[in-house]
Amino acid sequence: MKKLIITIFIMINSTSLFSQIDYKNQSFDMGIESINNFRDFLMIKNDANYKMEMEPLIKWGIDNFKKYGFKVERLKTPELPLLLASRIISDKAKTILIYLQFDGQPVDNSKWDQEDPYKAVLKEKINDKYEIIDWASLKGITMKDIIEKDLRIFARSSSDAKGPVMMILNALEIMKRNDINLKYNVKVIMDFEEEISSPNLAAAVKKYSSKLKSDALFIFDGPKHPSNLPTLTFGARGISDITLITYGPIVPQHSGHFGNYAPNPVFRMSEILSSMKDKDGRVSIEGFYDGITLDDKTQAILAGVPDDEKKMMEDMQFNTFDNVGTNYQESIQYPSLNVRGIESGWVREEVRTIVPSECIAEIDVRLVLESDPERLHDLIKEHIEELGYVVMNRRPTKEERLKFNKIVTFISTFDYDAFRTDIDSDIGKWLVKSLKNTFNKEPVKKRTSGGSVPISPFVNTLGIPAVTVPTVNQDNNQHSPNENIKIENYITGIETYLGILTDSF
Amino acid sequence: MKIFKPTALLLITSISLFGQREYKNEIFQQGLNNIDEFIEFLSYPNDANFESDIYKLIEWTENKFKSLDFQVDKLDTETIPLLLASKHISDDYKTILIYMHLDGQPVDSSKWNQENPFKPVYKLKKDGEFIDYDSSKIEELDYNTIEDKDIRIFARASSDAKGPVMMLIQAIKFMNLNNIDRKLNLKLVMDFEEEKGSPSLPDAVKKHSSILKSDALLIFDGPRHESDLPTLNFGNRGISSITLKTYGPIVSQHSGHFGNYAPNPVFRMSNILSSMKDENGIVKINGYYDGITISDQVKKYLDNVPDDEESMLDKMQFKKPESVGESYQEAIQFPSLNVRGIRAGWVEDEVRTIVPAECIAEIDVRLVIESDGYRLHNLIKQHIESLGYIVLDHEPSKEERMKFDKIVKFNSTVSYPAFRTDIDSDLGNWLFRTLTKTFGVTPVRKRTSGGSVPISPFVNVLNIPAVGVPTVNKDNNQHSPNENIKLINYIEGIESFVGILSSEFK
Repeated sequence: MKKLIITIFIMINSTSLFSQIDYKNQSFDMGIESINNFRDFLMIKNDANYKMEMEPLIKWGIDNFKKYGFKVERLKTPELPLLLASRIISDKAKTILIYLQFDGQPVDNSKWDQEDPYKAVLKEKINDKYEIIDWASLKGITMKDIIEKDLRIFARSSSDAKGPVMMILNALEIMKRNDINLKYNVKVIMDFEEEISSPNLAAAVKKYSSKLKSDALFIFDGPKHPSNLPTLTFGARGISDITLITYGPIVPQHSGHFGNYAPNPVFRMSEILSSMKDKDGRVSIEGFYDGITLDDKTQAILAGVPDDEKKMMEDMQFNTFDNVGTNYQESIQYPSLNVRGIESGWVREEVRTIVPSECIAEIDVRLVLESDPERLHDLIKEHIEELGYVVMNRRPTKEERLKFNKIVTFISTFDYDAFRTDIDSDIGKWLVKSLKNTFNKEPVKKRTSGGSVPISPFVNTLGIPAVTVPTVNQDNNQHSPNENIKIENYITGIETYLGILTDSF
Repeated sequence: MKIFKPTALLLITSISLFGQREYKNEIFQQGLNNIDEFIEFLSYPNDANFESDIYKLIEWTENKFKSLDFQVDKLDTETIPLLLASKHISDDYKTILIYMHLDGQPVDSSKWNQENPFKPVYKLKKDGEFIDYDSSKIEELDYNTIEDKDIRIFARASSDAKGPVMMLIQAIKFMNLNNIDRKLNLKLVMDFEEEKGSPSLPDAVKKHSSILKSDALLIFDGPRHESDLPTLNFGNRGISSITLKTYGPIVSQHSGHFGNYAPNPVFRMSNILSSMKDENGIVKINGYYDGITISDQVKKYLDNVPDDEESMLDKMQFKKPESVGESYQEAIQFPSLNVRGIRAGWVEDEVRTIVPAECIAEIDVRLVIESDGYRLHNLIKQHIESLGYIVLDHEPSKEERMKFDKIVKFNSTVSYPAFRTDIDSDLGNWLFRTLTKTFGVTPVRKRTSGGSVPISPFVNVLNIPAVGVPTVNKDNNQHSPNENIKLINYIEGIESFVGILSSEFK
């Protein structure tokens, strides 16, 4: 385990060489000035489960990018359209595609500490609690105060991901006011169905691939490293899943009459699951981790991420992490094999004295670039077969149940692939330089994020590298009640994007 | 696996030596002539969750047994009283305690194929389905017809267990009418809370032990063997339970961010569970089956039970049973280790991409007489410890979670122990002789039933042997909608009880 030592921070700070603070004050002023616009934007409902309510949001997207000289068009899909906003300065210039997400998670008003999740409130941290304060408090405030008081805007999508949309628009506004031109072509692709897993994105990217043609993709979404240092994420794991079902008697049987006679599907499932991993949490199926090598340079990059693992484990309250990598960053360079749910019979107050009829386990396998999902699923399947099971992709018939002793239903789904861009690629180097210039600090470089984003259609169909430039605070309660964004992050986000948009590629 | 072919059944029938059935036709007539009394009895709602209903039923029962010249006492308990109906015949005779219960399972009328589960209806099985049967034709029936045709009464508690109570009432009436001597002193203990788990029974037996004093206990409840041959049940497994909990992160974590980093409680639980049994379902924990030997004599008894295991497997749709015993009867001579439920995270439509915070498994351990529940629980606990777990009886504190890598919470309860009476005991031999004589066939003798009954208070406190004398049909839909009793089982039940009450137990 890697323990973070304060001196690392100091070291990082002291290595900064470039000091370009021209835009700092302008970003701050623009951040404060734009708060009312941000609040209006947050008021527009954006739950993609209610498709009829999404038009005002789409129109807002069109209007706001048109303001800055973008040509905006709707890319039709079977459900909600994507928006593509393009500003082409020259056919010869490079083109950057920026991915933004407009829709948000559903809300359950009753669980929020405010009247309406779409009606933003400003809060200050007082005695470890966030208390609502007057918006007028922002008048004449300094960055130092904002940080000390931990001022935050609480509203649905404040961080995920209307905040980043506002940041880029503010960056464009600053450029407009200062008459600064783009140095490369920019295409902005706006997704209105991200929180419902972008069901139409892959097909749309294929269909509109010529319109989307670019040299690189930036994803303006997601939280920075917990240290809140400037962050770049160069990849994300992909995701696939497997549903397993094991069988006992066709209907639950009395556990007195048939306990130690009728086969128990939970023991069967336990046999399967426990055979997949060793007791330290490492997958013991041969070949599962094949193709992944972490050379010295990669290990140095991973070790350079200032994770405080002691705190992570303390927050999550466990003593030892799974023995896949020697630290957190290393662990997520490997595919995962995780049981996200298991169910059979009844528990707690509902417990019944039965031998259950079946046991269902839901598995997710997070993918890395090196691991072909089909190969991994085949390995798992073959492993189960080696235990003596007949593996089928549906429920067994009565004949099959009577013919085979051990049967498992195995249903697998691939959602999307991993992507990973070399930190040392041109695009990587450029972004690192840009962030360094903006903040006088070496950014945190995450080789990959553990989670998954539906970015692979762009990477694979368009054949371009992708990097995520996250800006919001890690503790933003994304996907949960009381989602929020730190004002500090809102302002530094503007600065980040301003730095990137004004740089030359 | 044992497969009993029809020829085996014939063999059993043909080896019977004492084929008498001297009261067969008279008992049949008595049963049919008084069937309205049974219908009336079935019309009393008996869900013990409704006390006013139960008290009406208690009053009916009290009057009924008084009219049969029994002394009836209410044995007070913390909840609803027990009734004790006693009839002392002679000091020369042994005293038999008979346990019966009069309450029934709750009903959900909407799921029954009749208007009201407390308004009995007659039905006839035709082409695999039950159709209404004209009740006015009941009086015209003869014995052969009810033996050949599957005619049943459908009503809540018809089998479980007002049926046996009425069989006993009719048996006593029949003997009174025909001057057949009863050669036993009887104490009938009637439970009105059995379906609620008889919460007051253990204390009541202790409190009233002197008035309950007897030489043996008979349980007039439960279904006969599937073959519907006369059956004696010499034991029941006891029941105990364990709840296990394993832990991952304190709250569920995103499976992308923390899959292969945060420990997964399902893999932990799988490790624990799969280490307990081999792939044939045999418990691997050392000492788990200690003390249990199946002697040749016992094996013979077990083999004589005419189970059709091929049909059992076909019905339950699995190929191979666990290999604890060589047959079904042998399997249930051993304590079980069964996971009755497991949960972590969410599945199917509700699935979420998380590393779950905890996994809970509910286990039941059915006990046999050789295996002390506490000893087995300790073995299981030590086994889990040997896997490297810290076993706690409480939710781990943050300190404990940070201190120990592998933690399991282990909570256990022993509900009640097993009981088993020797098949070759005086009581067993007497009942065997009696039923053989009554029906002219060899009864099925089950050394133990797999399920559990709360009989141990009687056995342990009164220190008497107990045997179950089940009478109703196996397919009676006990505890379910459309509970029923076959007329033939009702009639033969009366015959069984006449046989027992007229035979002296020495």
